[in-house]
Amino acid sequence: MVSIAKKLANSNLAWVAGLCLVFGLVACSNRHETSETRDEMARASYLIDQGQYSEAIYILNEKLKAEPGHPKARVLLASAYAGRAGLKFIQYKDFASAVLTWDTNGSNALAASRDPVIRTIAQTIWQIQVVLRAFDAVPAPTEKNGYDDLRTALEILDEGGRLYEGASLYRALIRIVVFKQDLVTRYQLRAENGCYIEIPQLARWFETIERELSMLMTDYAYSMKDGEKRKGTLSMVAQMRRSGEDVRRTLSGARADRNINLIEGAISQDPSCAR
Amino acid sequence: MRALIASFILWTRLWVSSAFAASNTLYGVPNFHLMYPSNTLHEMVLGSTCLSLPGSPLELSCNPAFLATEEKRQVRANLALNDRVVEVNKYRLLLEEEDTFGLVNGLLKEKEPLIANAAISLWYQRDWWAIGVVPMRAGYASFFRNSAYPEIAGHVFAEREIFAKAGLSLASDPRVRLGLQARYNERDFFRKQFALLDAVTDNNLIRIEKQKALYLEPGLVYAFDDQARNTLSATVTNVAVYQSGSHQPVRPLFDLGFATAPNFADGKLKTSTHFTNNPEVNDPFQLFRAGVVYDFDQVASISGSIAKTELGLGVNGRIQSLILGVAYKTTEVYMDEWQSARVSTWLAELGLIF
Repeated sequence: MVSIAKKLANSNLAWVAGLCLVFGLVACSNRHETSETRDEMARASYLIDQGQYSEAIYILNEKLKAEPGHPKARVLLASAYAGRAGLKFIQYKDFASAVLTWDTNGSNALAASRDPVIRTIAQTIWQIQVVLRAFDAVPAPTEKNGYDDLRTALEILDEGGRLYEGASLYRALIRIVVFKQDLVTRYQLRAENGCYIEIPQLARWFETIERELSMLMTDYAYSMKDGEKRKGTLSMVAQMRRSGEDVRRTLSGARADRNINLIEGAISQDPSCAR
Repeated sequence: MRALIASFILWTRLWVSSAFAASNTLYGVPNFHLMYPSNTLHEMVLGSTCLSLPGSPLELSCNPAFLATEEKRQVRANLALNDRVVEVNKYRLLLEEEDTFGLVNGLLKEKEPLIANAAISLWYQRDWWAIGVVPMRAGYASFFRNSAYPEIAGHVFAEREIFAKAGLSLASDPRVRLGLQARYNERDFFRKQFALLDAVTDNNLIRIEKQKALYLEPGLVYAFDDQARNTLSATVTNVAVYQSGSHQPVRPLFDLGFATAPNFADGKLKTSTHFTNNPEVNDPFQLFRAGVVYDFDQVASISGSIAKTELGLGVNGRIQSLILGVAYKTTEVYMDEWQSARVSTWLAELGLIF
């Protein structure tokens, strides 16, 4: 037995085996123990990718309970709702093309006029047309309760503090989808009897639209990394708010019992459409 | 002598371990910086196992210590690439046409990571030393997920390199062979994980980093006095003695292997069991792999390797001065802790040898 043991001890094979054992032990002891740390964000991303939105939503909600306002968790949770709504990034393709190719300095036939006022009106009409073309290309969710999920996504992104850069741009992209739907369903200006609009109703409509557009533009501003560009966009938002304030003041100065007659193009007290 | 060699290996292994910085794992994307730089089909199939196997008649030994006993003079020019290079080129064209959405849509549809690599190399070997140049070695790996809020992991690199290697036997004990490889490498690369919308809003997020480095990579082979021509080898690669440019850490890698060439095959069949200390691999079993090479004299060779997450098999041969080769490789890539995919590719090789 002793002689066998001695032979083994002296053999090359034993020496090699010993070295391998030493290296194996040292290797194992130096492993980074990342497998012990569950990455909730990676898990949620994986579930969203697999279409398992409810499970991803549960994990991310738990994460936000533990760390309220966690930016990445908020964005991923919003994307889980957006995914469930059937809204995918690729659907923004036409909208992005319209925005990237829009030329607000373009022209129409009126732009050739010698009259500077006409030229200004022509430029404004062109810009409105460009914006409407882009707005037309805003995508829609494909699932039945898609808009409900998108509103939930927006609430999640609106809570818990300011978002910046990509996250803020994502919020703007979801907001514009919801806004387009709301224009048709919630923010519709109803003409009474098909011919007149109550001034108080108009004032409320205007305030809502201006608020939504401000939030949209603010999201866009905070998506910019360039401080100067961000400042410029925010000052545009402030200017828009000031203009809106002027319009609201004008409307609230009008008599509340007045209406705008769409047929006659006049403000009158008469709520009928008789000419 | 054995004690000296064992001490050297143990010390080197411990030093290399302590030099590792924090993990730079990007799920779904291999870290090309921690892979043995492969220039030929044979090296791409064998991976790091190449370091513990003596070179085939048509190939240049990866471990410089094996050159000590070689009697081989050859010049070889080589191109090796995998079939995914075509797909990557397709996406490159979309990028040139500025069809960003088309590019993203295409990549989002890839349910498994897209991995491509290619290398052009030229070298001259004269017995115990060799010099060479790699005008281009490139790799691409990307993985996209979450179509509602796309996230991307990507590693792309292109590098150029000149190298020299030599091996000598110890006068006092010819069973001990020492070798050294010097590589000067210039690399452009990008390696990051990010959300697509962050890249849209931040022009500086996608930045190509540049790195220059001089590597000195020692190798050691101990040849046992037996009929099976057993060898124990050790190498330390990725040892940057000079580095400039990117702050991306360059981590040394330690490899240990045991190779045998059974007598019944007249030394033409060589097998090895190999260990690489890769700091980004958590599963210890993934650190081991086995390699096998069968040489048909100076005409052709078959090579293969197997590891827990990888399998490769290839053949290359010589028709006069022309080298042709084909190989199949399948790799299990972990996109995250819960999901993996098998990425299978075909590799092809074309070369000239004199």
